[in-house]
Amino acid sequence: MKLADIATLIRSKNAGPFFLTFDIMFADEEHYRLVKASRSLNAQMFAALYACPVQTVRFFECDNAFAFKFSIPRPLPQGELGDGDLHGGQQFSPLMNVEIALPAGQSIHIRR
Amino acid sequence: MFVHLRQDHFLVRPFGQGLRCTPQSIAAHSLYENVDPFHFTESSGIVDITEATYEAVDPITVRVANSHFQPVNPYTIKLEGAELLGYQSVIIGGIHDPFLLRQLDSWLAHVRMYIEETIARVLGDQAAKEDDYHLMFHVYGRDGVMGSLEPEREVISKEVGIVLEVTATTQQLATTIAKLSRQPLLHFPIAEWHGATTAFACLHNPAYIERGAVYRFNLHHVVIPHAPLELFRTKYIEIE
Repeated sequence: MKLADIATLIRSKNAGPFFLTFDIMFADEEHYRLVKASRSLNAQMFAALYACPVQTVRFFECDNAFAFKFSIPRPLPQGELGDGDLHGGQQFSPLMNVEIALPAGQSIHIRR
Repeated sequence: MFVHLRQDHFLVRPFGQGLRCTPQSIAAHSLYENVDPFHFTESSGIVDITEATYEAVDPITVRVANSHFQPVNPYTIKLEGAELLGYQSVIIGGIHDPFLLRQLDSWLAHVRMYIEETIARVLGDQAAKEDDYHLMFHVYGRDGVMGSLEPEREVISKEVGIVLEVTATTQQLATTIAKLSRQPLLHFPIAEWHGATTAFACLHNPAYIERGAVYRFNLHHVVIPHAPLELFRTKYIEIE
């Protein structure tokens, strides 16, 4: 199952001018726990997806917020010559197709 | 939002008809625009909310407890700064020719080389130094939005939008270079077509837009002052 089918929000944004942060959020604890238990989201898969060194990837599991977060240094500082996204808001789409390994027979309420 | 601060917890709720705070919505707020959702570094210490608890005390109010503050010594100040990069003129247009689109990188490289040679020939000393000007192509429909993060750069769309940005030490130089760039953008040939072609769909006439001064961040630094208020001027005004 693709992450975009389970998450209620996948977004990217600047965290200051030098970092990009990505949030993956769920409507309820059940769906968050399923994805957490799958271990499909981790620093290694993000580093491969965004072709960046794994040691620059910070990964957080936010149990109270029912959310995951990834943060990486921006390839270019905000507004630098060549920067095509001032707010960093349109960098998240590769995350949408990440496959989440779910237990066989697991039923999911598809978001859309 | 309305917050009651207590000795060891706080209560937060919204104003407004039909609005409510939930434990999840309050916990989720620390993710927004933050690198680390659990640690927040301020001048005098670090707010650590790793162990924070969020409890609904009524349908719209959340009680937050168990955040910690770690004072740090020495006190630190973050400095941020920006500098003038130069002046910009841009040309906006598009390409729809399938033969061109499948060799876009090499065509743009040729166009760039042609522009640079023309600048050297026509402007000579005016733009002689390497950092007098900078040319940048943004290719929408390929990697305009994601740049170096784009994972599918090789996918060819049926059209691309191109923004050529010319940045130079003066507005006049940026515009002169933009004017020089128009010719190769419009007419640099590809092998597949024999005869005069028009490779680029200009959006505007004149083709260029002057953007004025552009800036960049040039300072992001943590300072350790000798005393916390050393870097700030304090003015006292007595009111009778």
